[in-house]
Order: sequence, then structure tokens, then C-alpha cells
Amino acid sequence: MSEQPFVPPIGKPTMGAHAMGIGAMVAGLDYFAGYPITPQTELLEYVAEALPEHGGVFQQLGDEISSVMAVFGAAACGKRAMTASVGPGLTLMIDGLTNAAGAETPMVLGALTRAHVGVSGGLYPAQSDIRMLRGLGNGDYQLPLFAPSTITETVQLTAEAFDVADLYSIPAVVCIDGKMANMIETLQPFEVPERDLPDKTWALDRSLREKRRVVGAARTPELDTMVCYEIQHKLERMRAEETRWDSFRCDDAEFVVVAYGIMARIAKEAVRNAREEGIKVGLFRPITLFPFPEAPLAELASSVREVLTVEINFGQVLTDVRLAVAGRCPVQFFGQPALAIPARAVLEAIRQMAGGQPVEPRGFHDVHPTAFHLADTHPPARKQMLDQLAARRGQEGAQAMLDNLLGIRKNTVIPEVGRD
Amino acid sequence: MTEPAARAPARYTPPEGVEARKISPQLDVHTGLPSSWCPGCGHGSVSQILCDLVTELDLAEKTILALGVGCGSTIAAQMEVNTVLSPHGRASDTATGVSRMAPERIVVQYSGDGDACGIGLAGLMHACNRRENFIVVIYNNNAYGMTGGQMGPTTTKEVPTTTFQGGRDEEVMGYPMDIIKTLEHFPGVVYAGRCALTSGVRYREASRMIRRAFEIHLAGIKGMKVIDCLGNCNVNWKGGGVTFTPESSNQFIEDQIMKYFQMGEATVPEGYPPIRVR
Repeated sequence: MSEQPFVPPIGKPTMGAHAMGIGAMVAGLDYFAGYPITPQTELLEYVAEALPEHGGVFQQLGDEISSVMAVFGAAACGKRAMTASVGPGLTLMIDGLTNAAGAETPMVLGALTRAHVGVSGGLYPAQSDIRMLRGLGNGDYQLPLFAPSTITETVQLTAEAFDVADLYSIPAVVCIDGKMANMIETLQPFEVPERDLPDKTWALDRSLREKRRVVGAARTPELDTMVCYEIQHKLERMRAEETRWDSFRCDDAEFVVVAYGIMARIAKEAVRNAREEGIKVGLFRPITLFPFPEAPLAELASSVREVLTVEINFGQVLTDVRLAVAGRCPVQFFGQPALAIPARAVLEAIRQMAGGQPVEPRGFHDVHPTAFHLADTHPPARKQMLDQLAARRGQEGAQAMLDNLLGIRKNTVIPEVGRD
Repeated sequence: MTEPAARAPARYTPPEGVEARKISPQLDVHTGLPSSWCPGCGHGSVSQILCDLVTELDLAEKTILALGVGCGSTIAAQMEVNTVLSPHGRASDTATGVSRMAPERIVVQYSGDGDACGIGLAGLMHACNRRENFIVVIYNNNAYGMTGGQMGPTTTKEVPTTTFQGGRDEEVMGYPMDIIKTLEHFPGVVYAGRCALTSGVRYREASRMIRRAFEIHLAGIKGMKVIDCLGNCNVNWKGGGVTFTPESSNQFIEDQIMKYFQMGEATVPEGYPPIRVR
């Protein structure tokens, strides 16, 4: 539909959220519908400007459900269509994604993740929606899930996601966390491999005289069962063809860190530093979280002493790592619910692992050191925190919750509140 | 993905000795398959009106059906045009995407009252607010038919449903929604009206109104064309031991349900003479 070819801003500073839009424009986006939510708004604004200039249609619809369904409608016409959202919005969009998967309709979802359970004030970046993004919605299916860890890779994988979606006639998901969404990096040259894509003979805009087209989830039991088998067949093909990973200094490694997205680049720094200290550690980075690079990780696991999974959540990819490692070596976990874990903390965890110790878990004091310090040492701040908690839990519950959080740090002396 | 065709028995064949006659070179969209609707249900009438109209105006190739979930979505088996099936209540949203990406086509959303005025109301209202360009035909039978006759947003006080057997409890459930009154004042709605499928005369009125919506669309007047068709759900209006026949249910619509709903056209573009409704 392009009137003039889109030129990606190579060499220019580029924001992560924009990178998704650039990738989509490179792929020849025709239609984008979305609903604003932090930190996806930058992407929305970018596409709103870029897409109409190149002959596409951008719409801001009533909610995320409408957006994802309109994208499904556009995709049903054989067009390249995309939407994007964040946590609570993604939850709503699952409605459309399960339908599009059942209808075998290719489309792309940009998922930008932040920390929260439900709709909370936790706007901090996190990788907390990975489990949801992999097993979205009702029905027995999974979607290809890309987890880029640089801005350039975000552009490239978003563009490729359209091809993968077309090739397997399935929605594809690209996931970055809130930190990457707001991060700015220079866009490097990249390449999107040419693929032999199937003709969309099923599209609604084809002529009725040839054949009637019906796009939609199966509405008869027999057809539904056939589609279930077909989806499994596709997933098998994807496991064989689309599995991607990256490794760093794994050749002679005795220990391996598994991390993806933003955490992979931080862990890389930690691995480098650990190597300088003489610890033989490598980094294994799954690029596709589905299909998960099971075989290469299994192979690696049989030659190393231990695996450490690092995520900004409480272990959503850990299950896959454990399944891949399958008892070949011990697997440890290192994570926190929000905010990127600093490289020095990962380095410390690597040291502990290499020293044959269990990795010390990250506590509240690690994620919010200032809040912790205040609660720990400043009685009025502690009282304020207790009052906030008491509104949810009652006085006793609040005290227990705070004691739990503060007590994670060993040898912490908790001052009495209200005295003095 | 050609679902109705995949399990379809043979098309209607005329009795022996009668020669099948092609009346026109147009693509005939009637599949001729037996429908899954209950005897006396008005869905068959709307389906007949739409199939006749699309065939007569030679719009088979241009028309795309956008369906949600409900009894109405089985129109896919009656009307052989390109079709998109969306989840319950999402037909307006899906039709938005389709009509934006295929602006030369005529997108027709066919929904029940639950699909359009219950779960899909937000999508439909936003589509009207955005001045999307497609036709919405609602079959308003005052109940959720596919699930066995539960009360819906449009259900009037007198209709017996399985969830409110003594009729709509206004204390708990408020009042029947008039979708045409709700939508007629949106600047994005260019044509809005209500018809019924209770008699031969009403059938002709409905037929004219749906034809008018197509004419307005074909004249290039952009905006939403919304038609609410009152019809029965004679099998499922059964709460509290009350039962209906097709005839008595149609009479019931005339006597009881029409008290709540204004019949006829509500919004008409300039230059179109009004369609008279009883």
C-alpha cells in the first residue's frame, strides 16, 4: 500500500517503542489500531505519524479489545496489521489473539511489559507478562514470541515477525520491557531475510467467483478438531525452523547464565566482569521464548556445572529452562518483580554460584532501597508505610507484611514505631 | 476455512421434471441449504431479504459479511459471500478493520441484540462515533436465543425469559434498551431505523429499509447504516410456563413489544423519501 518506500533511520538515535513501529513500517504495515497505555504511547504516536504518510491506516479505537479485533479484521483482508499494548491492555487483547490463532490469521502484537499484578501503580519495567504472552487465552495453542535485547534487534525482529506470522498464518508477538521501550540507542544497519511467503488465498478481498472465503475460528466440532491438529503441526514446524538463540563465551564455560531481553544485556556485562575474575561463565540468550531453544540449552547443560536463570519476575521462563536442562545440572534462579537487576548484583550471584553456594534471593530492600532504608530507620516513614498497608490488610496484617519484607535482609534491627 | 461448504450437503435441487432456471447472470448468493433456525424464527426472513437483495443488486462479489456469535451468525450457511467470523460482540470492531482495508467492499454486520446491544455495544457505539462505513443489521428478538432464552439488554417487561421468568425485573435490570434511539443522534450514523418481521406487510417494510441502507451506501454516503429488526424467539420465550407459537409470538410483538420501540426510520440522509411504516 506504500506510496513512497519507508526508510528506517539508520544511524539515528532511536527509542525502543519507536523501534517496534519502525520494524512494522519496514515490513510494509497497512493497518494499526491501538489504545494508549504507558509505555506504549510513544509507539502509538510514532505510527500515527508515519503510517498515513506511507498510505496505511492508523486508528485509535475505543479500547484494546476493539483494537485487536479491528486488526483481526484488517488481517482477514490479507493486509499487514499490528497492535500493541501493555499488561492490562494485553489481558484484554487476548480475546482477539486466541480468535486470530483459531482463525489462522497472521497479525503482529507488540507487547511492552511493566510490573504489576492487576492494574496497579507499578509502572516500573519488568518481564512479568512472559507467561501470559506464551499461553495466551483459551484454547490449546501458543504463539511465536520474540524477545529482542537491543533497539536494532527490536526493529529487525518486529519486521521479521510479520513474515513469521504470514508463513505460519498465526499471530506473532514481539516483547520488550518498559525499560527498553524508553531506552534510546543508535539504530544500526540490519537485515531482514527474504522469505518465500505463501499467497494469502484465504483473504476476504479475493474474488467470490473463484471461491468463497470464510475467515474465522472454526464453528463446527470436526473443523475445530482439525484446526487444533493444524496448530500443533505449525508449532512443530516452528520449533524446527524458527527457534533462535544467542550465546556469549559459552564454549569453555563451566557456568551458564540464561537471560533474555533487557536482562540479557545486563547479564552480559556481569559475565564479562566475572570472566575477568577468572570465573568460567557464559551467557545463553533465548531470542524466541516460544519456540524455546530447548535442544541447544540441553546440550550446553550437559557440559556445564550449573545454570543460573536471571529474569525481572519470579521465574516465568525458569520452567522452560528446567525442562530443557532436565536434571543434567542444577538450575538456580535470580530475579525480582520490578526494575532491571544491576550488573553488579548479577555478578555477585555468579560469584555465589561459582563458589558452590545457593544464590541469595533479591529482597524488597534490593528493589526499593530508599523506601526500605526509610522504613528501616525513619519512624514517621515507617508509620506512613504501615498505614498504607493497614488500609489493605488491617493493622496486624500490615505489621506482619512489613516484618516479612524488612526481615529478608539478615541482621536487620527493626526499631519500634511510635516510641521515642 | 470454507466451513459451511465443507460440511454442506448437496445444494437444493429442483424436483424431477422441473428444470432449474437461471434467472439472471448475477452470482446467486442463496446457498439453498436447510437453515438451522427454529421454525417461525425471523432470522430466516432477514436472511432471505439480504440474500435476495445482494443477488438482485449483483453485489455478491462486493459484499463481506461480518458476524459475531449468536443464532444470527449461522447466516453464513445461507448466504454465500465472503465472511469474517469474530467472537461474540466483536463484529463491529472486525467490520471496522475490514471496511478500512477493503473500502471498495460493502461490509454488512449481522448481529443479534445480545451481540450488538449487550456485549458489543461499546464497539458499535464507537464505530458510529468514528463514522465507520458499513451496514449493521440487528435481529432484535428480545432474548439470547442460542443459549436458550435468557434476558437481554433489549428485553421488554412482558417477555418471559429463563433468567427472569416473570418478565424483566425493572428493580434489578432496568429498562429495555432502544438501540436506534441510542444511535440515531450520532453524526456518524447516516441511516437508522426499525422494522419488524411479524407479517407479510412488515416483511416488505423491512425489505425496503434494508434496501434503502444499501442504496445509501452505494450512493457513496459515508457513515453507519443501522437497522433494528424486531422479531420473535418463539421457541425460547418460555419462562414461567408461558409458551408461544410463531403466530402468537408475532402477535405478541405487535401488541406488547412495539409499545416500547418507535417503528420506522429515525435518521435518513437528505433527498431520500421516507419509507412508510404502519
